[in-house]
Amino acid sequence: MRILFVAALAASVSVVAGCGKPETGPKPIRVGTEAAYFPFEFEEGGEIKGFDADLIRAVGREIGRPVELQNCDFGGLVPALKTDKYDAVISCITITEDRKKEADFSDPYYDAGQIVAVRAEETAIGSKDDLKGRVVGAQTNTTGYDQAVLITGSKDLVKPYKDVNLAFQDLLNGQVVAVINDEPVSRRLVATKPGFKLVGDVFTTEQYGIEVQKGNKELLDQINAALKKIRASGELERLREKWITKPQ
Amino acid sequence: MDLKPYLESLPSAIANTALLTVCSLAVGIVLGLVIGLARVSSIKPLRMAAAVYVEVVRAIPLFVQILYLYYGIGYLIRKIYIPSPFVSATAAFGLCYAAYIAEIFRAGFQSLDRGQSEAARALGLTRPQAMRWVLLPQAFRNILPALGNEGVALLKDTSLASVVTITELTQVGGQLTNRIYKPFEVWTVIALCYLALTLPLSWAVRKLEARLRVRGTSHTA
Repeated sequence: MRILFVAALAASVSVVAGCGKPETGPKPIRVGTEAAYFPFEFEEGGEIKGFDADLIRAVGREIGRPVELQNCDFGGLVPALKTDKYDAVISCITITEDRKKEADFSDPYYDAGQIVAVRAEETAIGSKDDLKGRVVGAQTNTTGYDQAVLITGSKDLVKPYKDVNLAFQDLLNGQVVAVINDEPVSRRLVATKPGFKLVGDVFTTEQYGIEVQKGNKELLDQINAALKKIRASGELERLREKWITKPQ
Repeated sequence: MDLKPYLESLPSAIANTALLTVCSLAVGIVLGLVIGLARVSSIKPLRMAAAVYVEVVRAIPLFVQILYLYYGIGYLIRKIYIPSPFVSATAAFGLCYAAYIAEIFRAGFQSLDRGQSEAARALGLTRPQAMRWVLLPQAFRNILPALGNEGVALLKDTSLASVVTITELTQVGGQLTNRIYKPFEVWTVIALCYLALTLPLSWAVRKLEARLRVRGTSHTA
């Protein structure tokens, strides 16, 4: 018993000592993401994967710093960025004038837009225009939520969800008649899960950008330079095919 | 500090938190009393059923119960009935708190002197009559501080209802943080709102306690 205890103690001491070892090599870039947005960012086997995850790791590789991806609620990402918990945030964040006031955006890396998803058996809703006065769901703090308020005509008609998967679950449960969300994500979700379909066309033009702390020009310039290289080498398009357009 | 975003969203959030608390507490107390009575019942199966209910409910996190009822049960019964988030959350809070409140009632009944029930029976009251007119009023008076505690705890727990899309204080706090990006300011305001709700609640319970504090054996209600 005592031997076991000593061994355990030694093991734990060595673990702690390992943590305290001074960092060798470049400082990692701390990046926040909401890993509940398949196929852009999601957790699998304890690792954050997806288009955004691959992209930011490629960016880190170009810059020459490792990337430390951390999962966080979507609503908590920018506050955490502002309180210096992260150096950057990548999470399908649409570049908007309002958001530019709080953080600096990289050059856009992905073109997206909003689309309406409904239950597969739905016949009454053919496009977003049929949603006026209806109860719809959207993820809170997203551009999809803002659009949902505009389309339905009232904040009271839009149910705010912590993540988009809960919104789709509730669509299935009959609590909302539609979910307004980014098209690439909704399209993949509809393709992989039964019970849903998309209606109408993409009705907004949006671009995703990587956010850094306001005034962090050094990192922003590095990210933009890296994005340029990744785009020019065709890697960006390869990532798009891997995760979005031609997934296995 | 710009008050506009707060004035736009806080009044309805406070109202929702308060309403959710009052409705859930009402369900919890009524159901808690029923289960508490079952806990001290002379019928063994009733006693056991109540004990099982209390043990099971107390063993599951409230957050899980809320998700279970809204997303889980909601999925099962979607073809028959679609409860609103408010109904679903009220049921979850009520069912959960009933278990704790039942234990408080049980303790309240068991704390009474045996002589109370014996005297009531000797006076010709039936068992239910004795319960209603002699035991319950005294027990209620004794457990009031503990009930008040549950009320305050419930008020704070309603923050969990944001996960089922109810726009109560915590949900609105998250939205405000993302609108004006002043997390320290927003969460300070939200914390103060909870304080502003809990303090009157504690005060009301103390008042009620004082009112019910009666000398001797006079009739209380």
